Amino acid sequence: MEKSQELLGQERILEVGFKWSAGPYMGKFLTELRDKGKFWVVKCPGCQRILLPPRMLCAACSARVPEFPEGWVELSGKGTLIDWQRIIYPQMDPETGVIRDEPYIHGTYLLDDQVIFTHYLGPEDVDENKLREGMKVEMFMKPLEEREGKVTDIKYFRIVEE
Amino acid sequence: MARRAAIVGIGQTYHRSKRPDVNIGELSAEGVRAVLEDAEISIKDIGAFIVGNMELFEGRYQQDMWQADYIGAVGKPVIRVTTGGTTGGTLACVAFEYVASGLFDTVMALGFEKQYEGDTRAGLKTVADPIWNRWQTTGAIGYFARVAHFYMKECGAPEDAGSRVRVRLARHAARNPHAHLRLEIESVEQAMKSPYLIPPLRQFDMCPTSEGACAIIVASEEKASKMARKPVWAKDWTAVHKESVYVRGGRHSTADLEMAASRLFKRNGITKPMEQISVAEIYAPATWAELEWLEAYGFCEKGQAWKLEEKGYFHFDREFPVNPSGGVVCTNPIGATALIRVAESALQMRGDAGEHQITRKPTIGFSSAWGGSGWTVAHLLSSTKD
Amino acid sequence: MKVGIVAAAQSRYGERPEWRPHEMTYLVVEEALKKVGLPFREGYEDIVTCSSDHWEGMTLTDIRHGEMAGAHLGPTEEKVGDDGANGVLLGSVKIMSGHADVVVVTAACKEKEVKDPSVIENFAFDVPYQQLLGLDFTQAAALQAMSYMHKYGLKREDFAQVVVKERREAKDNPRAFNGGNLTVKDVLGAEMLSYPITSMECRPFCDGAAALILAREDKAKALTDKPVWIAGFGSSMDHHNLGDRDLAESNALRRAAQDAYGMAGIKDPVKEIDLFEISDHYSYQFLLWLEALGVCEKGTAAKRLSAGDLDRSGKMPVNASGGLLGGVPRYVAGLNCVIEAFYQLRREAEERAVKGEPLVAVAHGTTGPAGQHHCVILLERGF
Repeated sequence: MEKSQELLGQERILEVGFKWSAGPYMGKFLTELRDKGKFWVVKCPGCQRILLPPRMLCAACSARVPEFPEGWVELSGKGTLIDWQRIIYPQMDPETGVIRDEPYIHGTYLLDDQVIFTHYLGPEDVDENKLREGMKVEMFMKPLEEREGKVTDIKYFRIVEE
Repeated sequence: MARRAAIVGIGQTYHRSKRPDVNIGELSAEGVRAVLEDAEISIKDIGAFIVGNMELFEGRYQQDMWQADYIGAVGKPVIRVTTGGTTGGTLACVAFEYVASGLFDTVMALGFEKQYEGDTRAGLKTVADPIWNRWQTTGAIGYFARVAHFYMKECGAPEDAGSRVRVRLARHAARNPHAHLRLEIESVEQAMKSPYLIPPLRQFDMCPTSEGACAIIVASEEKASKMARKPVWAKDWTAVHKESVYVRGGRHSTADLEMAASRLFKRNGITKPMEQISVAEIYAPATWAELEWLEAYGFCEKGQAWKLEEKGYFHFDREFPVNPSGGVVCTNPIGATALIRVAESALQMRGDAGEHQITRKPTIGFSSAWGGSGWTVAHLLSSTKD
Repeated sequence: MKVGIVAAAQSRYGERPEWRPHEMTYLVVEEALKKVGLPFREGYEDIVTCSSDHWEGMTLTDIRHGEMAGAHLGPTEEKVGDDGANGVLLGSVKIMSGHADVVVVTAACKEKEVKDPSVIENFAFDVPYQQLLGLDFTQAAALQAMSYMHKYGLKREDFAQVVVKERREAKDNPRAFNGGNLTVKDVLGAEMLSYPITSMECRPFCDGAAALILAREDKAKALTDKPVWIAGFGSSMDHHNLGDRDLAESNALRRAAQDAYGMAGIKDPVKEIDLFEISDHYSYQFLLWLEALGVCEKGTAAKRLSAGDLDRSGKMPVNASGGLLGGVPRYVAGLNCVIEAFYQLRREAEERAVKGEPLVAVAHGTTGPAGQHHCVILLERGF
């Protein structure tokens, strides 16, 4: 009787540590967010479009963008809800590698009528059925001691009750 | 000196979700053997190798080094070109250029992927900038859910538009022995029963992860005239990239698709694409993307694709065949996927696609690749030299 | 129809925490374009980038490198996943195919951002054989160094003197950070990594970016009155399994060199080539690569080095820039060799210039463990 061949395989987890430089543009954005709860964007000196995240080069018009503070604009952290997505399919948290399986909501917001930004829409018990395009939203920060100099120092955006 | 290049060999593996019976080198070797058999030449005749896959996906580093012995590349010039989802498309472009340059008479382009061995979703998440938005990335599924959402909103398409595409692709894949997913999806109602991933995108709407390899052999005009198979001529090719922000103004952009296709069409006198082009093997990782992108490429007006789909216009035996192979939604070994589009377009030009051969007379084939932050690589192949 | 290099730029190499990798790409591409007055994004049809997804911890790193080199809705972009010299090869092919007139080639790598380089290198080895032995590139290099040493009766001192020469000459290179005055004893006494390779015998990890601009002959002559032609190139792949190779030889490099020389019509490399810029990731490689390139008879490069023949002021200057041991990041490495050779032929190499009027130079890049893949680029002065 023929024995079927065992199909041998090998398992390994590739774990590599990184320390990424934020550079002067992202670096400034994140330190201002972390230390002062301020949300900065930058206006391209060439074509005037708002660049979020702040970056060195405007790809559309090839202008070199100056470092803070020239051309940088502070936003209020307030805006309107444009769109949202309930993420049902289990997602892996890229920072921990752990699957987070509770559904959560991603919102798209127009900040200060100027620029689009996406972030969580919270808190956890927000009623999706009550959401409407155009609702007013505001940025809600983590407490100072929990901030790490990351975009997640913003805890979520929340609907402003009228 | 610049000269014409032609595809003289086409080979691919039978794509599956898992191939635990082979390691990645052996998988690629299957693709290599298939293409050598098709072209009826020996590995000795290959002057250079152009190899590619998703660098990070299977966790391996410098895969072209690893595979050298398996694919017969030892002692030969090898270059690895990796441009993400567009890799296979880029491999074809580079292969055409290697031959057109006059330096090499016969080269092989090889794309491969063994996705089950890695964590594709994890790999895709690392596309996002670790400092800006990696924490929130939902990968490809999030992106295509938005494509579907906007297509419905802007074009008035009904919720079953994606499912109609899926039925067509299933019919095609059933006739393509190399396709990975050869599911029996016979009706729109059946397709609509597929569970949601992120509404309105359903599981059936999205491509699988596959394991497979694809290879083409490209030769100079002189060599091609002596080969076993009818040569398929590389008419033109191009690529368009975009900045690394996926979503501007709350909406993804199709500017790369528009630019790439219009460049190719303008350069080649294509003013009525669905008439002048016989078949389109377009790279669309989701059913909804096929609809939006047929419009973005300029094959039909905005808002028309779903209506034509309802009429069955894009079936392999109808007016304008789209993805007669089953497309990316049925087969997706990422490093090979875009090259499969070129290979399938070439098969059609040659009249060798067997049961999924288009019924229209094949004269010009359009193939495309998509990936990155919204990049497009596109090619025009021709069944005649001029 | 010839392909010429018309301009180049290099960043300062070293630890550069102030910039992100693609920001460094932008700075060198911008600088190179300015030198010949080409507009960003509009002055060229194609971009070839060279970066490593693994070393940046990000998939599709060419998204950002391409963007920063001008790829947004403009020139096409391709990413080469091998050493930077291969980017020059691909760029040249693109021009010769008629598909582009001007190509920007760029490479960038920030090795200092990676905490576990050995883990990444280990994943370059095949499963299930070599990877589980825990090999990384240094260990593979050590195996090759031992093979080479035993076959030709060389000593550790022969390898260590390479480091002394490279670091000494690197002092005159404003881009290099690893210049210094060392003795053979210093090198041999440094921390042993994998016998016989000590920490000083490895290319030091660092951050950096470089770019050059290729143009078709007629365009090249219009852009600069000092073009440097790419007269020949060759590349070749060796076996992956270290046991399948005679590590004491570099057959892949020999073949690549033969192809490059053949294409350029070079019959006697020693007589017809004026200088070399080669990729010495490890000390012994300087010697072994030179022998495979036909500069020295097998096993004799060490003696030639001791005699001073290979110094910047010697009969055959090799790595007048200080080489990779002077401090150049991987991926940028081979491209940097091409750029250094380019500057030498244009007499723009400042303090590190070789004497006389060099006309022909060879640049080299290597990818893979113990030099599995090699790429040779031959340059000729075009004025």
